[in-house]
Amino acid sequence: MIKIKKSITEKIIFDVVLAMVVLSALLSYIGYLEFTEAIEDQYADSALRTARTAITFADVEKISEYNDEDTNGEFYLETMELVKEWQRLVDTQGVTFAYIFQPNVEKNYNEIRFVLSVMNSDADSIHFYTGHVQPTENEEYRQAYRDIYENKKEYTATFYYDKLYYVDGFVTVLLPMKNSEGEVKGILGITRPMEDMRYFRKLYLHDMFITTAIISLLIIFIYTFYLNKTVVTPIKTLSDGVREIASGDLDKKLDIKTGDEVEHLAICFNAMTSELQTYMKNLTQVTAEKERIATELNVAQNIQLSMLPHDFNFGRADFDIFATMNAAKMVGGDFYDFYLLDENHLVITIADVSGKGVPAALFMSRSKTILKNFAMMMNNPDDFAAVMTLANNQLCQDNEEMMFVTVFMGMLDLKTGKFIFVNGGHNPPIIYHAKENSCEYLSVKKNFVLGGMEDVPYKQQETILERGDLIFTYTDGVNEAMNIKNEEYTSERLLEFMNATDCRADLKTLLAAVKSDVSKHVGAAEQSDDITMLALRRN
Amino acid sequence: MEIKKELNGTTLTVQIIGRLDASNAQELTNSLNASLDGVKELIFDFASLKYIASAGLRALLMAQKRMNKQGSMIIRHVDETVMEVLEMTGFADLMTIEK
Repeated sequence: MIKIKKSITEKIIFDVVLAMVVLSALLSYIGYLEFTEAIEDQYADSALRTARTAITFADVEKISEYNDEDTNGEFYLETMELVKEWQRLVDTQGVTFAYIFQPNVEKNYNEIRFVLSVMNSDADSIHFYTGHVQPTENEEYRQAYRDIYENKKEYTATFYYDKLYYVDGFVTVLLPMKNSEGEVKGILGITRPMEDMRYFRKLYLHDMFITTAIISLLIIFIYTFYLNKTVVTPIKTLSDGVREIASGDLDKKLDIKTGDEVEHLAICFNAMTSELQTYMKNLTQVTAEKERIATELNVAQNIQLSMLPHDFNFGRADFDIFATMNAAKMVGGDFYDFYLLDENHLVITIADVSGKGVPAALFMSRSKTILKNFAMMMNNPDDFAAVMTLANNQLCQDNEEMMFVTVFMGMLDLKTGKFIFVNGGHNPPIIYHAKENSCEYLSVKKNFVLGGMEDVPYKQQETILERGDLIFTYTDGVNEAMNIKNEEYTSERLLEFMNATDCRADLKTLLAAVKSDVSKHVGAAEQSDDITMLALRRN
Repeated sequence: MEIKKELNGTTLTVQIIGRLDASNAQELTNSLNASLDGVKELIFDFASLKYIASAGLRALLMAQKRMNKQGSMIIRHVDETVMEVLEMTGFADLMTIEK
């Protein structure tokens, strides 16, 4: 079983947690910004209200006249009156700083000139006297001045946070001071601390974190449960089922009702197994059929082989006979035959039916029977050719398929050694003359094959077999045996071999020697035709 | 084996290239059956035929029997090996063979 490194649940939960963290961080940040802005607005509103109250005490027309430094000045008392009012306002409103100033418009608001300023009594800040000039260091303030002078804003609010976290931020609200013609003559500023900002921010973040964590955990818990039920369990069921199928149980049907892809996959699997079953059934049938045919062919081959005489021992000293047939893969059409007509007459036959397979085998058995029947019915040895003529006509009848057979048939008179033979289109046999200890091809008349055409004349010939002489007959499986280069063994090589080998040897040994020489030539190539040989020696 | 057929009027010339054995003799028979209708003269060109097995002879015999009824059959340019087989089986005596 394959070990699962990481389950789907684990993977998905990891992804969900990651997404939750990212999402909640993003939401927190946005909320945090919104929250800050809302608090800032509240502080700005408060400062604005203070500023609007403060401006009611001041007289814009006298803005250039206010002076809190020249104690003898014409407007000192008036100025102090205003300062007093403001001091009260500043202290009660929790404002840090209230002031009037005029930015230097010509110098691009680079500096401001204080008209007057009031500090909260509790604050230990610097007091700017009338005429104090302060450079504008903060770009935000410069923009605020410009907004009031040039963009005619009704007020501006600027927030300032110290870089130190534990110090409160400040809000500065600026109001334009306009004369009766609406001309901006100066600016009134109120600066107040946003003392609760840090606390609220902390509270917000804390709440947000707890909420997000609880919701995330809840979602993960529910999701995992859901995931397990809808995905993981069906997949596990599926994989268990598939394993069962794979181990050979093709009757197993997967039952998954999820209505999603997993169910579809299960349906596909079921279809696959049933198709596999059908296929296997068919295959079994086809294989069985093939095996049946192969068995039948095997039986046919055995029957064919059993039709050939296998008993070579006639218990007689005056002749030896031996034959072999090495069948090629397919049922072939070679056959041989031998039998005694009477005490003194031995008939031998070797034949090769055209083509291969069952038709050839059937035609072979017909040929063999017909030839033997006519031979047995023969009265006069001079009529030996008539056996072939009659057999031919018989074989031609109803021979729609035009099968034919090449036949060499011979009859040996065991007393005289006279050998009468007819050759119906077959390979000429080899004759061994013991006296000369040499072999040669028997000169044969080239009569037509049997079964090919009716009323073809067959002529018989005769020769004498001396004692020790030998007739070697074979089929073209011998001389046409091919090696992998498609080169034939040839009848020349056969004769050469017969001359080289010991023809006085036991016939079984002799045929085996020929066969082994043919095999040497064939080598690794597949045997393409039956190899049949029959040898007869007169003693 | 390759079969090349050329019909010229009522004369069909069939060239057989390669080996004619049990594995392809039926192919030749089928091929001839398909094109022998109306043919008066059938000419086999064996210049490129290297080998003939008994199944091939059967195909020739079938062609000969059919041509006996509707015209004539000639075999030309027979290779030595093939000629040996034709002679040995007696086919050479039954068929018109031009060297």
